[in-house]
Amino acid sequence: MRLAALRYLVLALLLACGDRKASPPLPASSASTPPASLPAVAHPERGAAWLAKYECARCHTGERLEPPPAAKRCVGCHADILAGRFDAPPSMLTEWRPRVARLPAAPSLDVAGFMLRRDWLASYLLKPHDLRPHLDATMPRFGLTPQDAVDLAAQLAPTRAPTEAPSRDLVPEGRRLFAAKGCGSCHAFTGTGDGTPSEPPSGAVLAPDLRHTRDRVVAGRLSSFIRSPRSVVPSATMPRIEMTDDESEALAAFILFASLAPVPPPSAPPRLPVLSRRVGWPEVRDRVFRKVCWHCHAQPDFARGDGGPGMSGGFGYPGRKLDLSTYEAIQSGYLDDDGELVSLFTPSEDGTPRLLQALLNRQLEVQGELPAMRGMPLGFPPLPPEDIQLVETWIAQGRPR
Amino acid sequence: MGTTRWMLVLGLGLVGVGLAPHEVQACGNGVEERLNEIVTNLAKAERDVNQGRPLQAGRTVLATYPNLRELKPARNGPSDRAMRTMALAIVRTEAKLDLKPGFSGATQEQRAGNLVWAQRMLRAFSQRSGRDAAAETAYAEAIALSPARRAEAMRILTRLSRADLLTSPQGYATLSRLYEPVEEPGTPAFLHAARMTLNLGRQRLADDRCRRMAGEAQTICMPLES
Repeated sequence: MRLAALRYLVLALLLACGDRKASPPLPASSASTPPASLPAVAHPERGAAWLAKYECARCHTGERLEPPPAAKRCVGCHADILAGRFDAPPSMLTEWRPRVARLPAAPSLDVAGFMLRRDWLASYLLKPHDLRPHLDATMPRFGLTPQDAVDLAAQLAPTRAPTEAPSRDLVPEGRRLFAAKGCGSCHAFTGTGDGTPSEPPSGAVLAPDLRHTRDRVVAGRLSSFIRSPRSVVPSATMPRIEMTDDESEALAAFILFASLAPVPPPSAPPRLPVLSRRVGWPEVRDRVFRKVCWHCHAQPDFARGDGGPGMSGGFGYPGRKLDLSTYEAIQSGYLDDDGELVSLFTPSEDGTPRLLQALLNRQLEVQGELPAMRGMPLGFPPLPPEDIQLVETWIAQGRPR
Repeated sequence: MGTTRWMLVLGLGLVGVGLAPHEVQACGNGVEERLNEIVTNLAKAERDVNQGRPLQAGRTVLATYPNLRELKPARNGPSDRAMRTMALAIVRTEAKLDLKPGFSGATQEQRAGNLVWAQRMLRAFSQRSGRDAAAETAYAEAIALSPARRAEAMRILTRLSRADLLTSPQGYATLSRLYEPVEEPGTPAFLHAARMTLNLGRQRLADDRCRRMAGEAQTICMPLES
């Protein structure tokens, strides 16, 4: 545990330094700025093994991925529930739909193979941030080392022949076409004043905020993707929109070179005071633990699936035997790196119980920080302050059952 | 291969299909509790045994698994949960539970037999789970009912308590009872008094934790009748 914490502290410092020193050609959000230094040598063959180790197929599809066993299909299961294919009574499907709608789909990794920049991908894997405003979930922050990230990025984004970027002179025409073709009905483009969909179409859940595109893609490949997405990446979700080669070139220029106003990082949500009323286990269970946490932290013997990565291991993590589905299980703690049981309520240096600290750390991650202890819920927005207040109150009151 | 043999193979195959567990569904943590009647019943029994209603819990378990006494611990599964819940129900009625079939408690001998069964089950789960604070807490709670094993129970519960891994108010209630003052013939008076004072302090701490964890089910923290 200490080793992992030290590793992430070093990495956090490295990335923080990188943010200050790097001078990107165009203003972009600090969250998407790649770190200053990553290992220079990549091993794509190791990256292939990391695809399996980090269980990318739980959420993603792609030519390089083996379809996962049924118990590890996170996004596939959500899609089944949303489509009414899941074997459960309609009333339960109705109850579950709003929850699983937070992660109904994930992008195909084949898009990465076609046009993502390898250095950006490696840094993103180490410091994931929100790219898709219509999708609640984001890429989880895995336990990757910088070398793992570089290897994985090399596997996903192979070396490509150089291609010519569009001319900056096309930006005004691209801006006009962006409005004319309706790109902004699906895509946000923060910092430009363009593309602010209030109610995007249901199929646009994966549409990224184009602010990050200049960091993400190989400039010369964007135009052909815009022109005919599914011709170059058959699994792409973006529909084909009629346009000429010149028009796609101008749109690519606008996306890559339009001036971007700085966007402040998300502000820290308020830390609400401990409640004076009584908070019992049923309330905190129903509002927090059984709504969110037990998807990844449950007992496999009375749940379908494998108990989740937080219990049985997965996403590259060892099994921690951390079960958040019942009162007694939560009191039972988890296994640390040395295989010793540790209480979830062990206070950290400032006295904050670990369970609460993990919830607060997710807020920090969303603000662009990399706390040593990973924030929870993994890859999802932080819990609302009111829910964190509920958990904190329950702990402060002696965790009443 | 003759026709009869083919039919036998086909028949066995069909039986196999019929007995095969449901296909494991992805992402189903918690789903089973809503869809599987056995699991729903067990979840209710667990709530009862934890909320101070052990007799009700025992009844539910036996209605779900009438042959429970004949079962052996399996490797993770609803029947294990049923055995664990029944074992706790026996312990939390101080072995006075009297349920048929399989768990009659009309005579002292039957009650003692039920307690031994409960202790054996909880020991098996505790040993099998390796590091599982809930299983250890339950086991210690069970053996604390046997005077000869109170010291072992005290060791387990004290270790878990120090690591904040004691998982139930019943565990703290048991710890509190283990700190009850006892006569120590032959021990110098000053030493006995010092131990009494120390144990009373520990007992108050355990009582306090029990009451805080028990929430509305404060009866859990009351002294046993016996």
